[in-house]
Order: sequence, then C-alpha cells, then structure tokens
Amino acid sequence: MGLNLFAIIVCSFIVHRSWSYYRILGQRNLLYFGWAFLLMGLSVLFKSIYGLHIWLTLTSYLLIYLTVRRQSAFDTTIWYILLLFGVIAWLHPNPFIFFGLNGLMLAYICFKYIQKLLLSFHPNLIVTLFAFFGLMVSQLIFIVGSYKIGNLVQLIGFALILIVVLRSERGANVTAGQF
Amino acid sequence: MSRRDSSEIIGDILIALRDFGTTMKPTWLMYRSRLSYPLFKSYLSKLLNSGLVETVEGKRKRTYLKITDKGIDFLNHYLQSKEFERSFGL
Repeated sequence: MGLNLFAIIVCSFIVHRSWSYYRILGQRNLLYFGWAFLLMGLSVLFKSIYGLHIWLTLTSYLLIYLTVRRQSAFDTTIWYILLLFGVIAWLHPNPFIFFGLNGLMLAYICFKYIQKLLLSFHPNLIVTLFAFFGLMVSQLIFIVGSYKIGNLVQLIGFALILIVVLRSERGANVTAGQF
Repeated sequence: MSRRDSSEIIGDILIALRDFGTTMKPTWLMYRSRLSYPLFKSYLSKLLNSGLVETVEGKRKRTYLKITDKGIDFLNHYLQSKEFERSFGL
C-alpha cells in the first residue's frame, strides 16, 4: 500500500512537471514522457484489475522507450505492438511473460541511457540510469518470485526518479536577486 | 552545431539580456543572440508584445532593451525545463 501510494505520488509529480515544461518548450518528447508516467500511475492504481494493469504498465514502458530514443511520431508498428500487448494482457495474463516483457523494455531503456551518457555526460543522467536499472532488476526479482524484495527495489527506483526531478529543479534554479 | 528551435532562440535572447545585467542596445543583443536582422526583429516584437522584454529610453533618445520581471520568471521556468529534459535524456 505504501509503495503504491509513493509510486502514484512520483508519477503525478512527473506528469505535472512534464505538462508544464511541455507548455514552455513545446517538445513532443516531454508530452510523451508525461503520458508514460500518467499510464504508469494508472497501472499502479488499477493493480487489482490484472489485464488492465498489465496493458497500462507495458504501454507506459514502451512510451518511455520511444521518448528516450526520440521517436517523434507514432508509426503503424507501434499500434501493432500495443495491440499485441492488449492480447497478452487479456488472453494470456501470464506474470512471467509480463515481467519478462517489462524487463526487456527496461533493459532497452537502460541501454539507451548508457549510449546517451557516452555521448554527453550529465550527473542527473547517471541517477536516471540507476532508477530505470532498479526498475528492471525489480522485474527480474518478480520473475524469481520474491515480491517483497522486488517491491523494495521498485521503491528505490521510484525514489531515484523523484531525486532526479528535484535535482534538476535545484540545478537550474535562478532567482530574481541574481539579476 | 544543431539548429535552434524558437524556444531556444527566445531563451538565448533572454540569457544574453540577463548576462549583460543592465540595459542593452538592440544591435548588441542581435549579435549576442546570433540572429540575422529580419529574424531578430520578429523575435523582438514577440518578446515586447508578450512583456518579457521592455524598451527604455537612454542617452540621446536612443532605445535600449531590458528584461522584465515576467521575463526573469519565464527564463527561470525555461532553464528548469531544459534541465529536466537533460536529466531524463529527452
């Protein structure tokens, strides 16, 4: 219950920030990132409806992956993947396939962050990489069956995401007194 | 160097004004924001209309430019957005 509440708070925090930053910069990546965390928050909220929970989680990680690899528009392939996720979620809600797919997408996300770090170093990017790595490890622990440890690792992942948001705000804070 | 989008150009103009500290001649601002005259003119009119920059009359009735409080507030939000974007690699 505590983890669910914390995850929903972190997700709503990022949705709010992404939306307000999207209004300033107009970057579609920010909009997709916000959508991803909105779906992730909803997936936590609807944990009891298993099919819906699976579909929302898979879609949210797919959106994060597309955003990080700078996919600016949805092509037809994405709709087929979403349809496939829907079929997996409703017809075959196997937790092993679900956690495996989540882990695979998170592994792709981590790989993209490593590539980004090699291109241009940013300290917050390392924390982001660790956050998504933590989420990936939690999925692997869920496959093994240790839900208690998996939840704990997931909590660390969400906490790191929150730290990144707070660090980014502090890093760029400019007060009127400076002028 | 990659192409700048409109928000980045506006950010660069406001940063140039902020870094200069006091009022600034339009020509200096144009050089510092690395823009051609027609582009600079269109961006400046946008900034003046939105109240992010104001004109001040200086020596020999020359027009100078100054960042407003609204401009400072916008720049603050803009820098936060850019930092958020960099932090998550977006």
